Amino acid sequence: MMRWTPGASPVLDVLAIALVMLAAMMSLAAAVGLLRFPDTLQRLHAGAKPQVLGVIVICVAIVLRSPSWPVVALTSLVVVFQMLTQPIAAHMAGRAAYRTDGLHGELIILDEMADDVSAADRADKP
Amino acid sequence: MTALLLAAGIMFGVAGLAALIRIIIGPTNLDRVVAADVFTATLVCWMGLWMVANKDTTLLPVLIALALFAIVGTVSVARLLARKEEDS
Repeated sequence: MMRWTPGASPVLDVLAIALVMLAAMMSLAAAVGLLRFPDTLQRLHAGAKPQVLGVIVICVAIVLRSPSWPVVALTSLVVVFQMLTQPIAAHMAGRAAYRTDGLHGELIILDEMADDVSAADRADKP
Repeated sequence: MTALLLAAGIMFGVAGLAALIRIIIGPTNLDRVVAADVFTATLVCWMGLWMVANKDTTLLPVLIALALFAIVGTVSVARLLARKEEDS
Protein backbone atom coordinates (compact mmCIF):
# COMPACT_ATOMS: atom_id res chain seq x y z
CA MET A 1 0.00 0.00 0.00
CA MET A 2 2.70 2.46 1.03
CA ARG A 3 5.65 2.28 -1.30
CA TRP A 4 8.63 4.58 -1.10
CA THR A 5 9.42 6.38 -4.36
CA PRO A 6 12.56 8.56 -4.53
CA GLY A 7 11.80 12.24 -4.94
CA ALA A 8 13.44 15.20 -6.67
CA SER A 9 16.61 15.08 -4.58
CA PRO A 10 17.76 13.02 -1.56
CA VAL A 11 18.18 16.16 0.57
CA LEU A 12 14.54 17.15 0.07
CA ASP A 13 13.48 13.56 0.81
CA VAL A 14 15.35 13.51 4.12
CA LEU A 15 13.92 16.91 5.03
CA ALA A 16 10.39 15.73 4.23
CA ILE A 17 10.83 12.59 6.36
CA ALA A 18 12.14 14.70 9.25
CA LEU A 19 9.09 16.98 9.02
CA VAL A 20 6.76 13.98 8.97
CA MET A 21 8.46 12.57 12.08
CA LEU A 22 8.05 15.98 13.78
CA ALA A 23 4.33 15.95 13.00
CA ALA A 24 4.08 12.37 14.29
CA MET A 25 5.73 13.33 17.58
CA MET A 26 3.40 16.32 17.99
CA SER A 27 0.39 14.11 17.28
CA LEU A 28 1.57 11.57 19.85
CA ALA A 29 2.16 14.27 22.46
CA ALA A 30 -1.34 15.65 21.85
CA ALA A 31 -2.82 12.18 22.24
CA VAL A 32 -0.99 11.61 25.52
CA GLY A 33 -2.20 15.00 26.78
CA LEU A 34 -5.72 14.15 25.64
CA LEU A 35 -5.67 10.99 27.73
CA ARG A 36 -3.84 12.24 30.82
CA PHE A 37 -4.99 15.82 31.46
CA PRO A 38 -7.71 16.27 34.08
CA ASP A 39 -10.26 18.69 32.56
CA THR A 40 -11.70 19.79 29.24
CA LEU A 41 -9.80 23.07 28.96
CA GLN A 42 -6.43 21.38 29.43
CA ARG A 43 -7.34 18.63 26.97
CA LEU A 44 -8.29 21.35 24.49
CA HIS A 45 -4.92 23.01 25.06
CA ALA A 46 -3.08 19.75 24.42
CA GLY A 47 -5.14 18.82 21.40
CA ALA A 48 -4.94 22.16 19.59
CA LYS A 49 -1.20 21.91 18.91
CA PRO A 50 -1.05 19.31 16.12
CA GLN A 51 -4.24 20.63 14.58
CA VAL A 52 -2.43 23.69 13.23
CA LEU A 53 1.32 23.15 13.51
CA GLY A 54 1.20 19.44 12.60
CA VAL A 55 -0.89 20.11 9.52
CA ILE A 56 1.43 22.95 8.45
CA VAL A 57 4.48 20.71 8.85
CA ILE A 58 2.84 17.87 6.91
CA CYS A 59 1.88 20.27 4.10
CA VAL A 60 5.47 21.52 3.85
CA ALA A 61 6.61 17.89 3.63
CA ILE A 62 4.14 17.24 0.79
CA VAL A 63 5.45 20.28 -1.09
CA LEU A 64 9.07 19.14 -0.56
CA ARG A 65 8.23 15.70 -1.94
CA SER A 66 6.36 16.86 -5.05
CA PRO A 67 7.54 20.43 -5.70
CA SER A 68 5.22 22.10 -8.18
CA TRP A 69 3.06 25.25 -8.12
CA PRO A 70 -0.37 23.55 -8.12
CA VAL A 71 0.68 21.52 -5.08
CA VAL A 72 1.90 24.68 -3.35
CA ALA A 73 -1.44 26.38 -4.06
CA LEU A 74 -3.54 23.48 -2.74
CA THR A 75 -1.45 22.92 0.40
CA SER A 76 -1.47 26.63 1.21
CA LEU A 77 -5.28 26.50 0.91
CA VAL A 78 -5.28 23.64 3.43
CA VAL A 79 -3.08 25.63 5.81
CA VAL A 80 -5.15 28.82 5.44
CA PHE A 81 -8.44 27.02 6.07
CA GLN A 82 -7.00 25.17 9.04
CA MET A 83 -5.65 28.40 10.55
CA LEU A 84 -9.01 30.11 9.94
CA THR A 85 -11.26 27.43 11.39
CA GLN A 86 -9.32 25.78 14.22
CA PRO A 87 -9.05 28.88 16.47
CA ILE A 88 -12.81 29.42 16.10
CA ALA A 89 -13.53 25.80 17.01
CA ALA A 90 -11.16 25.91 19.98
CA HIS A 91 -12.66 29.21 21.15
CA MET A 92 -16.22 27.88 20.97
CA ALA A 93 -15.29 24.65 22.72
CA GLY A 94 -13.44 26.54 25.47
CA ARG A 95 -16.35 28.94 25.96
CA ALA A 96 -18.84 26.08 26.24
CA ALA A 97 -16.47 24.22 28.58
CA TYR A 98 -16.28 27.25 30.87
CA ARG A 99 -20.03 27.70 30.89
CA THR A 100 -20.84 24.02 31.53
CA ASP A 101 -18.24 23.71 34.31
CA GLY A 102 -15.92 21.57 32.22
CA LEU A 103 -12.99 22.70 34.34
CA HIS A 104 -11.66 22.09 37.81
CA GLY A 105 -11.95 25.41 39.64
CA GLU A 106 -9.22 24.56 42.11
CA LEU A 107 -6.69 24.11 39.28
CA ILE A 108 -7.20 27.65 38.01
CA ILE A 109 -4.84 30.25 39.46
CA LEU A 110 -6.32 33.37 37.85
CA ASP A 111 -9.90 33.42 36.57
CA GLU A 112 -10.41 36.72 34.75
CA MET A 113 -13.61 35.45 33.15
CA ALA A 114 -15.41 35.22 36.51
CA ASP A 115 -15.23 39.01 37.06
CA ASP A 116 -16.65 39.69 33.60
CA VAL A 117 -19.45 37.14 34.05
CA SER A 118 -20.49 38.57 37.41
CA ALA A 119 -20.32 42.12 36.01
CA ALA A 120 -22.54 41.09 33.09
CA ASP A 121 -24.97 39.43 35.52
CA ARG A 122 -25.16 42.60 37.57
CA ALA A 123 -25.74 44.69 34.42
CA ASP A 124 -28.57 42.34 33.37
CA LYS A 125 -30.48 42.77 36.60
CA PRO A 126 -32.58 45.96 36.70
CA MET B 1 13.21 5.61 4.76
CA THR B 2 10.48 2.98 4.83
CA ALA B 3 11.20 2.15 8.48
CA LEU B 4 10.95 5.83 9.47
CA LEU B 5 7.69 6.21 7.57
CA LEU B 6 6.37 3.07 9.25
CA ALA B 7 7.34 4.49 12.65
CA ALA B 8 5.53 7.75 11.85
CA GLY B 9 2.48 5.77 10.73
CA ILE B 10 2.47 3.78 13.98
CA MET B 11 2.74 7.01 15.99
CA PHE B 12 -0.22 8.51 14.13
CA GLY B 13 -2.10 5.26 14.71
CA VAL B 14 -1.45 5.39 18.46
CA ALA B 15 -2.53 9.05 18.50
CA GLY B 16 -5.77 8.24 16.68
CA LEU B 17 -6.41 5.33 19.05
CA ALA B 18 -5.90 7.59 22.08
CA ALA B 19 -8.37 10.10 20.62
CA LEU B 20 -10.87 7.27 20.09
CA ILE B 21 -10.42 6.13 23.70
CA ARG B 22 -11.11 9.69 24.84
CA ILE B 23 -14.22 9.76 22.62
CA ILE B 24 -15.44 6.56 24.30
CA ILE B 25 -14.67 7.40 27.95
CA GLY B 26 -14.86 11.23 27.79
CA PRO B 27 -16.88 12.36 30.79
CA THR B 28 -18.67 15.18 28.95
CA ASN B 29 -19.81 15.58 25.37
CA LEU B 30 -17.39 18.48 24.97
CA ASP B 31 -14.46 16.15 25.67
CA ARG B 32 -15.76 13.89 22.93
CA VAL B 33 -15.97 16.78 20.46
CA VAL B 34 -12.43 17.94 21.26
CA ALA B 35 -11.18 14.37 20.84
CA ALA B 36 -13.03 14.07 17.54
CA ASP B 37 -11.27 17.22 16.35
CA VAL B 38 -7.90 15.74 17.31
CA PHE B 39 -8.89 12.54 15.49
CA THR B 40 -9.64 14.55 12.35
CA ALA B 41 -6.24 16.26 12.60
CA THR B 42 -4.61 12.83 12.95
CA LEU B 43 -6.53 11.66 9.88
CA VAL B 44 -5.25 14.68 7.91
CA CYS B 45 -1.70 13.85 9.05
CA TRP B 46 -2.19 10.21 8.01
CA MET B 47 -3.26 11.22 4.50
CA GLY B 48 -0.29 13.59 4.36
CA LEU B 49 1.99 10.73 5.34
CA TRP B 50 0.49 8.59 2.58
CA MET B 51 1.07 11.37 0.05
CA VAL B 52 4.65 11.92 1.25
CA ALA B 53 5.38 8.20 1.03
CA ASN B 54 3.86 7.58 -2.38
CA LYS B 55 4.86 10.96 -3.89
CA ASP B 56 1.24 11.28 -4.94
CA THR B 57 -1.02 14.33 -4.47
CA THR B 58 -4.39 12.71 -5.19
CA LEU B 59 -5.71 13.27 -1.66
CA LEU B 60 -5.11 17.04 -1.48
CA PRO B 61 -8.78 17.98 -2.18
CA VAL B 62 -9.79 15.66 0.66
CA LEU B 63 -7.43 17.56 2.96
CA ILE B 64 -8.99 20.88 1.91
CA ALA B 65 -12.51 19.57 2.58
CA LEU B 66 -11.50 18.21 6.01
CA ALA B 67 -9.76 21.48 6.93
CA LEU B 68 -12.87 23.43 5.96
CA PHE B 69 -15.58 21.29 7.55
CA ALA B 70 -13.91 20.02 10.71
CA ILE B 71 -15.20 23.18 12.41
CA VAL B 72 -18.91 22.43 11.84
CA GLY B 73 -19.27 19.64 14.39
CA THR B 74 -17.33 21.42 17.13
CA VAL B 75 -19.15 24.74 16.79
CA SER B 76 -22.62 23.21 16.58
CA VAL B 77 -22.11 20.99 19.63
CA ALA B 78 -20.55 23.87 21.60
CA ARG B 79 -23.47 26.15 20.79
CA LEU B 80 -25.99 23.42 21.63
CA LEU B 81 -24.35 22.81 25.01
CA ALA B 82 -24.21 26.55 25.79
CA ARG B 83 -27.90 26.95 24.94
CA LYS B 84 -28.85 23.98 27.14
CA GLU B 85 -26.97 25.59 30.01
CA GLU B 86 -28.86 28.87 29.54
CA ASP B 87 -32.22 27.05 29.52
CA SER B 88 -31.71 25.12 32.71
